[in-house]
Amino acid sequence: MITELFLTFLKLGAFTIGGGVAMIPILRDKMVKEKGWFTDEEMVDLFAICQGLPGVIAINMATYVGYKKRGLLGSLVSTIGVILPSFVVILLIARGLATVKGNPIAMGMLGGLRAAAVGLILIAVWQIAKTVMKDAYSIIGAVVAFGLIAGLHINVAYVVIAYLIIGIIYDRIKNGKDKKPGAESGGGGEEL
Amino acid sequence: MIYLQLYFAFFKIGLLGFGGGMAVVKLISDSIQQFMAITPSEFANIVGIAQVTPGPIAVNTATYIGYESAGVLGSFVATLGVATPAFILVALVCRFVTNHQDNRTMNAALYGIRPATAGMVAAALITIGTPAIFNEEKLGANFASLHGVLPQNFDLVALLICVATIVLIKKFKANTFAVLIAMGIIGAILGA
Repeated sequence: MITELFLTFLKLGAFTIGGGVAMIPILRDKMVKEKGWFTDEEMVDLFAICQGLPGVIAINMATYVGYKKRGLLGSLVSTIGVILPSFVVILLIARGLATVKGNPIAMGMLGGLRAAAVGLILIAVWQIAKTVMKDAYSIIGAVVAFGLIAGLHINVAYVVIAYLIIGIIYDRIKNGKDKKPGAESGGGGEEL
Repeated sequence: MIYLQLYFAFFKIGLLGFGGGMAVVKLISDSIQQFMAITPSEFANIVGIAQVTPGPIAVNTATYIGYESAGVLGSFVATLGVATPAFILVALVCRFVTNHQDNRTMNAALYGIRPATAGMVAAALITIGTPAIFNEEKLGANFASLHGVLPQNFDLVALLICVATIVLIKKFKANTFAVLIAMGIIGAILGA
């Protein structure tokens, strides 16, 4: 499994342009459909946590998946895997061994990859919306979050913290104060 | 000790940079002045390369800046620095979430942030999609005859690659990495 984690994240690091978000559909297919390591809901939680925490989303996702499957060693191996390709490519460019700017073939290849990444992100939007948008709160919440981030340029971290608090308050209002943990009927996410 | 300085500067960037990608890049631009005299346009160039090459933008930028200011070891140290905080934080959070799976407040919080994920990914679609589809350096530069036909600032080829990626993956269940490689090759043939 260690080798598999490393190779999966190595490929993700090598082929996805534009950062961690483009990796989402690939990661989801691999982890949910192919390996059965995570459910769709667990995957969405993982993306939410990784985008809400500081740092590079791709590294966060590699660390999270690796840790969940194989503890610290797993997260270390996954993180190295996701970083290694860009490290090597940038080093070659910085040393002048590979020219990108002004080279039509290199720029064309990267442009093709970048355009494909946009397609991947669209797939990610669809996948996550399908998993997440199941009741009034989640539909309105998703649209409002989009407006806050894309329209008003509010930092993702603040949006995540706000939603986290809203989730807890919503649960308290809906299910009352005195329910035992795990026994709630509607506020928790497990039954979704 | 330039290496220690680099490590801690990028450690700070990894710790404070929420939201990934361009948000982290802004932090980098503020804190690299101590290592190298760099003009805004030079920095824009570095970010431009980081954006079009595979891998997380912040890692690419760290590698580049590290190399420019202190060679290969510098780029290694800078990359390590940007990855360390994420690594520690995410591992801790992952452990916490896993250990409190049945906790009511935890589940309520996760329920709260799920819709935000959909909004965040949709917002990323705009940030990454806009420059990929609407830009001056269009794909297809190797075929001059394409140029007069296509409208200015709108990369029809990129849009077609994006659509083809979605159709191949969603409709024909093609392997994502195979699709990415194919799109890279198509881009290289067309040039940019």
